[in-house]
Amino acid sequence: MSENVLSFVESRAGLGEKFQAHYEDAEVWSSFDRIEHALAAEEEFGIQFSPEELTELGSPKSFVDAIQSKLNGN
Amino acid sequence: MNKLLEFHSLTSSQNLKRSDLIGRVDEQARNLKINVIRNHSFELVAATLNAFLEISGLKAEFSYSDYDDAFANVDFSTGADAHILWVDLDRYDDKGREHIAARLNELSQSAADPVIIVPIGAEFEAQEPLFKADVTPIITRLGDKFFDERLADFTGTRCSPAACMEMSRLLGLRIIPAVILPGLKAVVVDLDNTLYKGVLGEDGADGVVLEPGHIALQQKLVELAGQGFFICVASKNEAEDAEHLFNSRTDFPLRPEHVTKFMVNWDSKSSNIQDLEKFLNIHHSSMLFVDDNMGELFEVSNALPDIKQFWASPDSDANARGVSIYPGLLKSKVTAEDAARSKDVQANEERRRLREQMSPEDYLRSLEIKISFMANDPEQVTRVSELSRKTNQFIFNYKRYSLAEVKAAAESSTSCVMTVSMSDKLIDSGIIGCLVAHKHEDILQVEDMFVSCRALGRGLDDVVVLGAIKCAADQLGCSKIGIEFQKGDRNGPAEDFVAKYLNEHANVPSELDYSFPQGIVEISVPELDVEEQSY
Repeated sequence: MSENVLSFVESRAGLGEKFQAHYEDAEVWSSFDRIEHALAAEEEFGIQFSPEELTELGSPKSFVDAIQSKLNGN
Repeated sequence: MNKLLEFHSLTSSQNLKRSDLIGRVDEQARNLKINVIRNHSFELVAATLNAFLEISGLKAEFSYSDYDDAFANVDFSTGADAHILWVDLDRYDDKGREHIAARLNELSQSAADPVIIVPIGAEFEAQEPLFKADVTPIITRLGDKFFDERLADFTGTRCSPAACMEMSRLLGLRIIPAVILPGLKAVVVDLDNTLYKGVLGEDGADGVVLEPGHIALQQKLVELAGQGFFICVASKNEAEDAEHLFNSRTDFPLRPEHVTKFMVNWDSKSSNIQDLEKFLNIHHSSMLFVDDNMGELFEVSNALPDIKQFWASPDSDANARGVSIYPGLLKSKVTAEDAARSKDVQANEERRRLREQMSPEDYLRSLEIKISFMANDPEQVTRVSELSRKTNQFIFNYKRYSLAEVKAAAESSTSCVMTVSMSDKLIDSGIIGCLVAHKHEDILQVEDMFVSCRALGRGLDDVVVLGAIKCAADQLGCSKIGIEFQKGDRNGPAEDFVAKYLNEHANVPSELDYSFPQGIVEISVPELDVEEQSY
């Protein structure tokens, strides 16, 4: 996993020390926060999520995995 | 200076990142309550708006209506500073669009606070006082990237994130400040590496280069001059060189007649701008200073901390974009007074010359001044609202009247909106003063009185103000006058006037002992059925 992606998601998360504790928490963000984080990731990494991929974004971990997968060309 | 660079980027950059702007807010800024009435999502726009509002010293909190295509429960009485109608017209057929347009225009007539409409998806003809944010240039620039159907189910709008950010920029820089704050009155521009590329003293008039961005900036200044903004030049150069430049370079869109005052000399920029303050009779906080030299910008901001500044970067296209969208340079409507403003101020020089040669009374007689009072004229409500929003020095209470408020006062049998027009042999200045007053039993309570800075200092302030009060009292049949006055940051001239002429009325309503001066100026009071007469 790229440190770059992890630190991006961590900085966006705004969870501070609780980041690890909520890493797999799908309810940690509101739906609007999730879409803003997805848009920021698209802007930052030059990627584009499909509607299906956007639906699956929830926890910080899902973001890290989805961004990484896009960067890997999957 | 970091702020100048940031503001340059916010106004001019075509590569802004949403993620850099989200959550950015100036906590010290004035807080606005904005009521968003919508049929699609506004949240993507709201998320970046405070970054743009910061330039105007504003921040916003938003309240939202439910999504409603019928706009059935529109409520403009929510105590908001402004309302935004956020409308996707593509959701209606032609008949539906026609119905919604009529409904929104009609509803906005009753709003006491400004109402902005941001229509997308179809043409929308806004009627006053509805203020339309024209997104056509954004659609043109973004092309098929304006919409993003992929995200619509998640964001609640067809507009792409890029389109939302550009509309946020439009609202935050241009539209919201225009309906909330007094506008700027003057743009002071440098010459070298600002209006053209090159140094006049070294390259000569023929050697300086006009890039497309310089042409666009000059064209914008010409447009602003036509709308009544004072365009002034402040440049460290030889005055003869600058004169030769404008005479010989006929490819410059900005012509000498567009410039209210040239300050081309070797004095400091701040002292030249202070001279412009006196010449234009405006405070430097109403000026935008544009210069490529950070040292000059620093010197000016140290001496004149309230002046607005724009750094003219080496990218002339960016400078043209930045000045075009800079807060305070948008007018909803251009009035006859706007067109005459620059010439009126230039005529003050001739008035000063005459005054130095004659006694005060002979001076006034020689100008052949005519002052007209008009009560409740529906054709003047736009000017009254505009003047109330831009007057800072001679104003009693800083009431910033919306069009609806002026209309309501003009139509009420217990209120009066009195306008004062002035002309002399040099120029017709148009409406230069307004009074809004209400009748309580036999008392005329003056809610606000404001006079354009262009009309001050002609030795006729008492005729304008006391005359307006007298005419309003006659109009409403009042025998006593009560004055409301609130001291503000810059209304010292009004404070001095009240102290000199109206102090007793500010404490307890009492009779006004005033009659127009005899044989000096021509007074016209047509609305009161009084024959035009000379006092």
